Amino acid sequence: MLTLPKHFDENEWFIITVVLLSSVLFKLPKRLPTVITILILFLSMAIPKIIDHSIAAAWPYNLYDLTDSKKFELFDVILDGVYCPFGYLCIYFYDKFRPKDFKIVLYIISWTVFAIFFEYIAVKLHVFNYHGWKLMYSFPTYMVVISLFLLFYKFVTYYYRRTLET
Amino acid sequence: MISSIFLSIMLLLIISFCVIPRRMHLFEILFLWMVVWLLGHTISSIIIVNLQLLEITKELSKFWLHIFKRILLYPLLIIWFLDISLLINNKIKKYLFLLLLIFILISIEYCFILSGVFIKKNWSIGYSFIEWGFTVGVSYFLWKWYRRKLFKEKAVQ
Repeated sequence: MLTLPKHFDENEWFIITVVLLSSVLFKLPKRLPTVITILILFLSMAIPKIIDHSIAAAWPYNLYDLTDSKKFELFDVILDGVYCPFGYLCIYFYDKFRPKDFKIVLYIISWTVFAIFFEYIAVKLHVFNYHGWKLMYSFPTYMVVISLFLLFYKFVTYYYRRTLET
Repeated sequence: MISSIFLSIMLLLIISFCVIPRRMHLFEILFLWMVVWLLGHTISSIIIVNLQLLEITKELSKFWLHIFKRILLYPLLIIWFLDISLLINNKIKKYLFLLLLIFILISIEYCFILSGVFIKKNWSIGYSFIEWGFTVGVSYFLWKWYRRKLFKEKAVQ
């Protein structure tokens, strides 16, 4: 089944800290309908999961490992929770500030830079252990993922409003 | 050859799913798709990496087939069956219908073993039943929970 970490060190503490800090999100004023919030949270977990399980798998690419070992650990599952606040806040502030035109580009770049910084810390704390991956590869990856994320949000809110109107 | 056959079947299923009218709200479909992704990836990692009951082939084209079926085929089948289950009012018939889904998923998994996408190590049909029983069961109850939320927010009439 799920293996437990061999050493309870910085990467486990990092994951626990971020997941615990995420509880602050519940204190934020509600901006999005619950059904959309759930979709956003699930998508935040699903996209990294697919990427991790495709390119970080032991074969054929093995570009990086998650946490301590090559086995699938309990903290690899808890790590999914680390992505939730990232996705939620990205949409939350987009909805709050509603950037237009070029500001949307700046918004995507800002979140990409933040994500890179966050990943840099995670790498230093051995949450991600790179083999062939480089931090600079994450830049275009985040740009694509964040853009798709915002498009997804635009689409579901449009569909939600349309459903309520009919 | 096998990859093209599977990909063609997958594409046909996706096209059919898009054109045939459904009873589910789009959000339910999106929700279930992500639930099956999360469950499927987690469970297959436990089976392949931790328990080493199955092994993935070392052929690149078959590896991508494994990725596509995990991302497209399994969620699509589960969503389709759950969508059809909305037509069944009798609870026992509904659960029997879900059992049929589990057997279809097990059969598909064995097709992938026979076609060489997976290499059987200590795998048995019992493990396959646990795997798909768990995935379908959890997906079903989470979907019911999400559907109630949709009704509450009046997104579904």
